[in-house]
Amino acid sequence: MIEIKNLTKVYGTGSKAVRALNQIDLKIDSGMFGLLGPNGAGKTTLMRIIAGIVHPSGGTVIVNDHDLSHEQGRSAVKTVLGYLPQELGMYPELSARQFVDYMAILKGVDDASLRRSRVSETLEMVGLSDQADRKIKAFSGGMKRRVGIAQALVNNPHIMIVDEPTAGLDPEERIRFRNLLVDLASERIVLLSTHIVEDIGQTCRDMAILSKGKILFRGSPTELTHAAEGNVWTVTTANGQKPNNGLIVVSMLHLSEGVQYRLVGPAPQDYPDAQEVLPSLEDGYVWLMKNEGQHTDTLQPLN
Amino acid sequence: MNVLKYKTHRFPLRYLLLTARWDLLILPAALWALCAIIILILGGNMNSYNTAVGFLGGLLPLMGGILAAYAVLDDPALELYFSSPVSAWITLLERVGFILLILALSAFSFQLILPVLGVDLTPLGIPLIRQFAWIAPSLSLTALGIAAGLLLAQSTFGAMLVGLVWILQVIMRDWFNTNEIARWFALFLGILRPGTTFLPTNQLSLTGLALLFFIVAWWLLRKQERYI
Repeated sequence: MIEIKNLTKVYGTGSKAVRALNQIDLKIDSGMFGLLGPNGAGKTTLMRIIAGIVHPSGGTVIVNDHDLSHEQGRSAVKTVLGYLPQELGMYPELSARQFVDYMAILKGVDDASLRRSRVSETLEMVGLSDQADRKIKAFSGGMKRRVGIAQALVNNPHIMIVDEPTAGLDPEERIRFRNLLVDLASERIVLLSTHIVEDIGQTCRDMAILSKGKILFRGSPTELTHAAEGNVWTVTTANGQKPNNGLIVVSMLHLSEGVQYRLVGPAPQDYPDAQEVLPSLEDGYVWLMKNEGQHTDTLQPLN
Repeated sequence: MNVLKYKTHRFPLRYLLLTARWDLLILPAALWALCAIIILILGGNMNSYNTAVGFLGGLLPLMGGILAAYAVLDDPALELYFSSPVSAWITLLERVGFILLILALSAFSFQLILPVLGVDLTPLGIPLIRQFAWIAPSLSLTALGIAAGLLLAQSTFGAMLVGLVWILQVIMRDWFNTNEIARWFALFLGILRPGTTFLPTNQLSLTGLALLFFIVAWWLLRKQERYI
């Protein structure tokens, strides 16, 4: 279990100080947990704190009964941690097998035969057995991400932290990746941080929304979806003109009779033909962010 | 869930070699070869001796400092590395140990070929004592390199600082070798004034300075968030 109390992180000092996290309280049980938020919300900082890389400025983080305020606690957590950072740096001259093997050594899996079998097992899990001895520099972005997951799994972690894992992947890879994460979450905590709403909706039962360093929402994706009920509309304009009445356009669909816009906000008075529709998770997210006065231009469109 | 057994961290020399930046490691090999060729051309005169001790007591420490400045931060998988339970002092031991290994290989192999090239290093003392002429300044600049790189959170700036200290000591070598205070930190006393009675004190002082820089580097290395 991960228990976060009153967590604050400030970068810099004096007039240049930036508050990345502001008094966060969060409790995360086993299974898949989604952390959603726009770019710059503080997700990566939170992930790095839980991974024991960044130190909190205030508050406490307890992971599996280990207090991350102390070096001893951070080391203990790192032995049972699988981490896939947002910017995944690798050694291009190593093969996938060598890279995962090296990471296993760093994580303390010293028994050579156990390590060999575990490396093969994880490469098999991510579907890279056939490519295991090829150099990483010859891999596509999706394959590198899979190597990243393999190294995160190699110590059979109790906690996995994956930060923006599907960024840059093609739709097929993204689906494959999401399914893999769901499988992995059956016996451990998987903490998924993303700004792609669809990734959360497809994988998590429990989630939180982080914006400007604060938790805006904590609950299930279904609860977030319900939050937008009565506030999602479709409007079709014959000339294709985009509605400009303060509502947020979530998507648009080109039809024979014009362009159909999906809007989030209160009833659009200028469009009497507007039809109320059932909200999606993305609508719920947009509604929440709109109410918080946030910009939503960082949202990723649904595929 | 099947929980894996964890043991003490092991020195992964194979992967340190495989992940090393070869363009940086070529530097010692290139200078080794260059100095050997110069000595061969000079044909065993006094300038050959100066070139030989210049490589051992001058260039090797500089290379150690430059390599050390890049040793930690010039790692493409640094964030993953920091997410592993390897402690700061083990990281230092691995990275610095690897550099010192390169320096030692360069120094010993160079000394092995010197008799063939007609250079006699007897003026530096008996074989055991003469090793301190390169070990003490190498330790100092290596430690300075790693500490400066981490302090400035930039490998290049760390290497530049090492270069600056080295050049200053080359230019002001006479002052460093004679001034009552500066001679404690003179990097080249061992090769320029091997007979001086102050030499053991100087070499101990340089080693102590290295220890101090290593402690600073260890302290800085624990602040992982500065480097990602």
